[in-house]
Amino acid sequence: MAGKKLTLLPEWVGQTVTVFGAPTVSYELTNDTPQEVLQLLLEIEHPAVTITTTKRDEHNEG
Amino acid sequence: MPISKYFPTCAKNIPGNSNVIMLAPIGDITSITETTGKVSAITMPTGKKFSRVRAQVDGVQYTSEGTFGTSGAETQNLIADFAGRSTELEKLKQEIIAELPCGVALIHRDNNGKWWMVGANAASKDGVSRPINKLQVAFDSGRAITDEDASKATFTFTRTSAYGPVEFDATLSSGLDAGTAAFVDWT
Repeated sequence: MAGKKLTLLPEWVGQTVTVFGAPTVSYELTNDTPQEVLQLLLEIEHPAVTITTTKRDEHNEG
Repeated sequence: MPISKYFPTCAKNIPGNSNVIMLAPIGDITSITETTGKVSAITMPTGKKFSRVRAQVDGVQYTSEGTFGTSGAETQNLIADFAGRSTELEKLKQEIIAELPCGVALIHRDNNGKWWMVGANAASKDGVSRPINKLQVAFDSGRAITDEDASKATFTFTRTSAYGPVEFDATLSSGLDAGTAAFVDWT
């Protein structure tokens, strides 16, 4: 079963970005930036976020 | 891809543009968000903004021309006339030239009240990869004081893209109209 995780690319850590929209919001990007913020950045096609697919093999129990 | 219906309601169409354009280095634009084909958000590093540039009244023109087959692109030009020569205009020119290796994006308003982003769009299109990267400059002093169309400088900004300029949505347009949009330096 595959899961999806949003990851902040390392070169963006420490940067502050402002999304000018309705409303205008600034985000300081850190390794602790919540997934909801990363999801928002993904939705606006911000290049700082990448999707990591995590694969879990439920049948491999030794 | 199906072709959508295009059947607009009848409305006035006013040629020309507002004389104020707004410029930003493309490196200051992180991303453009489009919702139903219109710019609904701009993302920039905190502190970065578009700069306003005032051209002559009736001195801003947008033109485009292109041919498409299995591939293709259009050349897009934003032409701006400025009155006379000045140290400040020369400084502006040099600052724009310095940004051209990476490129610039600009915003202009047509006389139908629509605001347009030229040089940047959603990442699913060109994103920020095909900005305005050419500037043609011209100046004619004229000869006599009666040469009414002379003593003006003309800047022509050019880019080539398969995608046209993107209109701003109603929310961002109202901020631009009101002079309150946070991504513009209004000082």
